[in-house]
Amino acid sequence: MDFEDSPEDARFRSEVRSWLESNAEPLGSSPGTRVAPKIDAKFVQHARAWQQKKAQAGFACITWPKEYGGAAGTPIQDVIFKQEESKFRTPRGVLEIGLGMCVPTILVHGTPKQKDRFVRHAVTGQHIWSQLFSEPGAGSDLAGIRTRAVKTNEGWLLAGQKVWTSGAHYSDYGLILTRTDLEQAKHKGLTMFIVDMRSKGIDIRPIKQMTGESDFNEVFFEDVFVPDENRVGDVNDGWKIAITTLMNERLSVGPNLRFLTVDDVRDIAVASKRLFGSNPAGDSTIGHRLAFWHLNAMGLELLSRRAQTAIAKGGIPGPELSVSKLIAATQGQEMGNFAIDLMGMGGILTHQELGDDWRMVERSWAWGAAMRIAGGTDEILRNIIAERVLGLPAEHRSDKDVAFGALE
Amino acid sequence: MPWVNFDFSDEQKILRTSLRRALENACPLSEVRRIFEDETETFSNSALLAFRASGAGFAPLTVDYGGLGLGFLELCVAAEELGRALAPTPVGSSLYLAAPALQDSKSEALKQEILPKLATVEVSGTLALAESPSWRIGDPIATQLHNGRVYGRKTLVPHGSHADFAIVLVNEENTTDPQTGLAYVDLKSCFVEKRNLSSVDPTLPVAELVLDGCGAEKLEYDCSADVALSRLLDKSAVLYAFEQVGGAGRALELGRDYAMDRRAFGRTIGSYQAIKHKLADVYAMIEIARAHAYYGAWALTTAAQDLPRAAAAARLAATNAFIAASSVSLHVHGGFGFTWESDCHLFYRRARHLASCIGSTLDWENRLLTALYHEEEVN
Ligand SMILES: Cc1cc2nc3c(=O)[nH]c(=O)nc-3n(C[C@H](O)[C@H](O)[C@H](O)COP(=O)(O)OP(=O)(O)OC[C@H]3O[C@@H](n4cnc5c(N)ncnc54)[C@H](O)[C@@H]3O)c2cc1C
Repeated sequence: MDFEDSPEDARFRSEVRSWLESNAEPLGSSPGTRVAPKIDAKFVQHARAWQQKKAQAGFACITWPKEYGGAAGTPIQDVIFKQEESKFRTPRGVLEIGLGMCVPTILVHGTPKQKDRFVRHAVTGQHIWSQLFSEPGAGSDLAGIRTRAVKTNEGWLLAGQKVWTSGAHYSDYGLILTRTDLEQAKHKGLTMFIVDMRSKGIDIRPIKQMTGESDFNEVFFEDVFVPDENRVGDVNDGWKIAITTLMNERLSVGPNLRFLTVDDVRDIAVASKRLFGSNPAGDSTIGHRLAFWHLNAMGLELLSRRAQTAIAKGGIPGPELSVSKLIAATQGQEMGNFAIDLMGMGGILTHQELGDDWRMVERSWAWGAAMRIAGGTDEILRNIIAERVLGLPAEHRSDKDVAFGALE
Repeated sequence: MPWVNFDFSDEQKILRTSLRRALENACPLSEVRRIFEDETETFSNSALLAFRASGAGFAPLTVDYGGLGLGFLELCVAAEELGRALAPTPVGSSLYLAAPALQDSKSEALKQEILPKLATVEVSGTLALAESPSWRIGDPIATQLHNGRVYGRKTLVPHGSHADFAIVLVNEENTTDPQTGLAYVDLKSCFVEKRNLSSVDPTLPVAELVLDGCGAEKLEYDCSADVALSRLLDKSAVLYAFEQVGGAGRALELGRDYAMDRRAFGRTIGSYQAIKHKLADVYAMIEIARAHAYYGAWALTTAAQDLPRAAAAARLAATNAFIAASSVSLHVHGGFGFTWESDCHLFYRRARHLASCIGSTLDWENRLLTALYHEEEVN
């Protein structure tokens, strides 16, 4: 066990740091600077450009093979780069779904031709990806999707509807889970495809979120043609592919939720004159909470290092990673509420009155709730822990061994 | 605790049923949403008319002022129904805040003139306390009352942009030691600079007011202004607790209904214990809150010694219940719960607004503990 960099890693870290210093703006210490601005066309452009810059410098997708534009570096180097990058103001929230979830799936299950065609363009920020999994009738129960893919002589025709598709409106490609066989049980008749988001027959409609912004969409497919070479994995083997994507989602989402930190809450307590002096020791109302939140925040940080160690040793992190988002999202929401309580009566106001830093409070309060749902709800994560880690029996279900077409 | 008949009377239950029915027509969630989305709308007139027709505003008013002298129970019943409907009305600012401030005062002429019209909210009032967002009860006041005129800047004023009058917390320049006081200010008869503030629940608008020499009448009480303010906050805490309990109950119903409808893994999600237990826990919180609110209502009406404790308990339990109910309901709705289109955020926002508007749980926990243990310390 060692938490220090090796001499080579330390060298890499300082190289990264000086590159970042000359190419990006350091993050301010105030929470407002950690909230990403609204994702509009200009921001997407900015995200692409930053990705390209990293790719040129050899810092994009560090562990991926050189032949696809990666840097063939070590997992530790990847971790180091991400740690250092997080101290700078870089455009986030646009490329993560592709680079963290979709493209890693293709790297595992894709054909050599697919890897050639898609991976490099994702590394350089030329292609943005979305994840077309959830449907109106199938979220937690993802295997219940209904979007059909029907084989034709030339390829496949897709018909159906996806929903909550983050970033669909600025994406170039999507990884889409479809149903190809109604005779099979629900998990068995699924097939995964890569779809060009500009294909004829795709209609993307923004969904307005509770926050008033629109980051996700409904996506309608009306006989959208997909060539067979865009099929990922075997026909009717899509569930296995989807699981790879979801495992990657858990790996990339949990540790990257940017919510209030324990320090932020402490600062708000001082600013709102609930805490006198900067040390909450001795103030049981505030101190008790901060201490508890620190245990979780630091615990998750350490847990993610353990996962990284597992990866560095060539393993894959298992379902124990489900802990991360489960704790982080709930904590974000709770800290948001507490920060608002610290403000007293003024807690009824928004950042437009309370200043830019308050955006982080609002983000924790609203997106804390959202992230308890996105990427596997709290209940689904608890089921994964209970059933796959602890080996407890699953709850009864009647839909498992029945042909999907025969379900009501 | 004396034995109490711990229920509302048949008449009060009839009031509940008829107001609920009236608000279902006058203020469905689509009406709440209309006020939310239309920036030019400050309140729902149809909801206000339904409240007015119920006559509940006259109940606490004594016969001397044209009221019914029934005490606060009817208004509590109405508050729960307004809360259920998320009714966007100035009833809270007028009847939970401004009315008790006036009613408890000794300013007879003013009471004769204003209270009857306030009971129907034909005249709307508000309470102006804070001078900055982080201002708290007990903090210094810069707003001055000088020669019958008031000078200062007030913020977080509920319905401040269109209320007819405000009860303003002022500092009275009394040669040697400045004293706090409450003053009546007619907002229509002088120029007041008003700015609407951006708030988490736009259906209950708040404003900043700049008072630059408005005519003011100081309210006299049989106690200090600080004590009067504290009593007034206790009263409003009980009334708001009823709104919170009402809102929480409705949010729970929304979550339950969705859980009965939505299917996953071949079952309705409501058949999973994880969901059932969440909803059942919220129900338990609401029942605790309701019990505290009822007791608070009784304490209000009989001016029981126990009001400070009862009011703080009602406020805390109701705040917790509504925050929990609105977030569980949102969560049970899955991705749909996070959309603008779903009604979940109307409840999530209202719960947050009500949790802060007269001070947060941090403030009320202190009030509760003080009510519980202060005497002990003194003795
Ligand atoms: C901000 C955001 C971004 C998203 N981005 C994407 C995206 O880019 N691509 C994509 O494909 N999807 C995306 N999603 C969708 C997300 O994955 C789903 O919302 C999520 O999986 C839940 O599915 P659902 O919305 O259908 O809710 P449901 O599955 O209907 O769940 C409703 C409630 O039932 C509970 N429940 C369900 N099953 C059980 C059970 N067995 N036991 C106990 N409780 C249960 C859930 O926990 C939840 O509380 C996004 C969602 C959000 C909120």
